[in-house]
Amino acid sequence: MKVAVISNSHLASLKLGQDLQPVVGVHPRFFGAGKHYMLGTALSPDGTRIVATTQDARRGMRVTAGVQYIDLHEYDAFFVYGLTVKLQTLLDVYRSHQVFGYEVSAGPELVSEALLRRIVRDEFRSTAAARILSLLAKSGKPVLFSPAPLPSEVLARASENGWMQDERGVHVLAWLIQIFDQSARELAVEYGASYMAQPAASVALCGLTAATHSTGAMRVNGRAYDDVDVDHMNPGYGRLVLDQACSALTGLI
Amino acid sequence: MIFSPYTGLPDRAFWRTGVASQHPFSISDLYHKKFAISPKMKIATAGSCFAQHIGRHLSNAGYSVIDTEPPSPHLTSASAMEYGYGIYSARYGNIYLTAQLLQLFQEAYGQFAPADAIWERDGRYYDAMRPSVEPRGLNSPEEVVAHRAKHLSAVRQMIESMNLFVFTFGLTEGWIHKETGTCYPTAPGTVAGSFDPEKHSFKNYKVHEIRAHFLAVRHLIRAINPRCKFLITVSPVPLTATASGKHVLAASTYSKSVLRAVTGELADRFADVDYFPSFELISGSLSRSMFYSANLRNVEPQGVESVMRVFFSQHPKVAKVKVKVPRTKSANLADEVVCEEALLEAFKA
Repeated sequence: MKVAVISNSHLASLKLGQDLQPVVGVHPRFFGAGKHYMLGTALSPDGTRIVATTQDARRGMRVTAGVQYIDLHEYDAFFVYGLTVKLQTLLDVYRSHQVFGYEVSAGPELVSEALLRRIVRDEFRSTAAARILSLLAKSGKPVLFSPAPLPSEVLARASENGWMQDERGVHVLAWLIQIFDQSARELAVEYGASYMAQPAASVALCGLTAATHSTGAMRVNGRAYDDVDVDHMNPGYGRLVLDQACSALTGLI
Repeated sequence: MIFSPYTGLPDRAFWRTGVASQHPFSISDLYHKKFAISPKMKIATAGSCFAQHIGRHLSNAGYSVIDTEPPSPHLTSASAMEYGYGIYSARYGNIYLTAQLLQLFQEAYGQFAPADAIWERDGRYYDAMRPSVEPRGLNSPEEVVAHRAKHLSAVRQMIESMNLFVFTFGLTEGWIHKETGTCYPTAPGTVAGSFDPEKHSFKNYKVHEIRAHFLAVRHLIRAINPRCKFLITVSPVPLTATASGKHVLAASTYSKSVLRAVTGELADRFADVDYFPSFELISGSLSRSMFYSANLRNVEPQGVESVMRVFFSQHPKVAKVKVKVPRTKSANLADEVVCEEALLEAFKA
C-alpha cells in the first residue's frame, strides 16, 4: 500500500519512526512543511496533482519528499496528521474563561460547551488540514485524518497548570479532550475523511500524552527538541501512530 | 407686508426645500446634535437589530464603544455574532422593547426577577431573557442561572462605566408572563420554550408605558452614573409579523408612531437625551423606500451608510480606522445583523 503522509512539524516523528522500524507492507512517502507554509493556497490543485505553489512550501516538500507535488494517482491512500488541529486552543480558552461546573480560573466569563465545540470547528476550518482534506477528497481514495498529539503530561507538571494534577483537573482535561475529539471527528467526516484518535496506549493517567513519548523528540533535520517541548513526540511515538494509521487505511481500501 | 410665524424660517422648516428638493444621500440640516460625543466617552449600545449597525459604525469610526463580554479570539466573527458576542456592549441580544430594557437593568441591580426565566427545547436549556445568544442551549437549568449571573455582572459594569447610552427603540408588541408581567424578547416557542395561552399573553405597549419604562431606565442609570447621556433612535425596520389582529402595515405604522412620539417627547424634555433621526432617513418619503431590501423590511448597506453619514456630519469620525474584516468567508458579514424577530416569518402557514 502506497500512502502519502502529509503533516507539518509532526511529520518528523512519523518519518523517523518509519526509519526506526518500517511498517510492514506499507510504502509511505512523507510530505511536509512548517505550519505557516501550508496555509491558504500554498498547496493547490493542478490536474491530478496537489502542487506546492510558494517557495517555502516547495522547499519543505522537496526536503521531506524529494518532490514538490503530491500525485493523487500515485498513492492508494492518504494520511493527514496534525497540521495545527490540536487541543491547545481549548486549553487556552479554558485558562482565560470559566466553564460551568469546572471553574478553576478567575476568568470573567463563562463559556458553554456548545461554544467550545464551535471554537474547535472555527479553528479547524482555518487550518491547512481543512484545505488539504478538501483537496484530497477529490481523489476518491481513502483519506485518514488524525489531530496533533495531545500535549505531553510534562505540561501538567508546570506550576501554572497545577489544576491539571488534581482529580477535578483530570476530569476537566478528559472533558475538554472529549469535546475536541468529537468535534474533530465530525469535521474530518464533513471533509470526507476518516478519523483516528490518538493511540490509547500513549495516553497517561492525566489524559495527556505520556512523558515517555515526548522525551527525545526530534525535528525532520534530526535535531532534537528540548525535553520541555510538550507538543512534539519522539520517533517511537510516531511509529505507533503510523502503525495504527496504516492499519486503519488498510481497512478502508 | 404680511407677517406670519413662518416668515423667515430656514429652509429645513419647509417641506419643499427641506425634503422635496433634497437628495436622499445628501440631505442637509436634518440633525443638529444636542451635545458633543468626545472620543473619550465610553459608549454603550442596545436596542433592536438596527442598533447593531450604529454600534458597529461608531466603533469603526474610532469611538470608544464598550464591550463587557468580548468573544474568545479563537471564534470567527460569524460564530461570535451567532453566539451574541460583539453585537452590543454586553451579550444581551436584541432588546426590542423598553420593558425588556428596564427589566434587564433592574435585574442587574436585584430589583427584578423574571418569571419563567428558563426555557427548554429538546433537552437543552435557554435563558428566556436572551434565548438566541446560546443557539444550541446550555446543558442544565443551573448552567443557565450561572451564565445569567455572569451576564448581569457585565451589564452592571457597562452601566457603571458608560458615558453615553445609545438605544434604538424597536417594537411595541411583545409577549408577557400574564401573572407577573415579565416581558420576553421573543414569543415563547419561537427560539425555545413553548407558548401556553394560560401563562403567556400578547401585549402592545402604549405611549405612556413606553415613556414610563424609559424614564425608569434613565432614573436607574443616573442614580448610579449621574453624568451619563442618552442618544435614542427609532428602528426603521417594520414589524415582521403582528399579533395585534390588525393588518401588519397598520400595526407597524402604529408601533413606529408610538415609539417616535415617545422618543420625540423624551428628547424635547431632557437636555441629556438626544434623538437621532435614523427612522426618518430610511423610512421617510425622501428615500422613496430605496434603502429597503426587496422584502421592504431589511435595510440595505447604503441606507445604513446614508444614516451614518448624517450622524458623522455632526459627530465627526475620530480616526480613520480600518473596517473590521471578519475571518469568515461571508462577504457581507460587516453589514449583517442578528434579528430574531425575523424568525416570526417562519411561522406563516
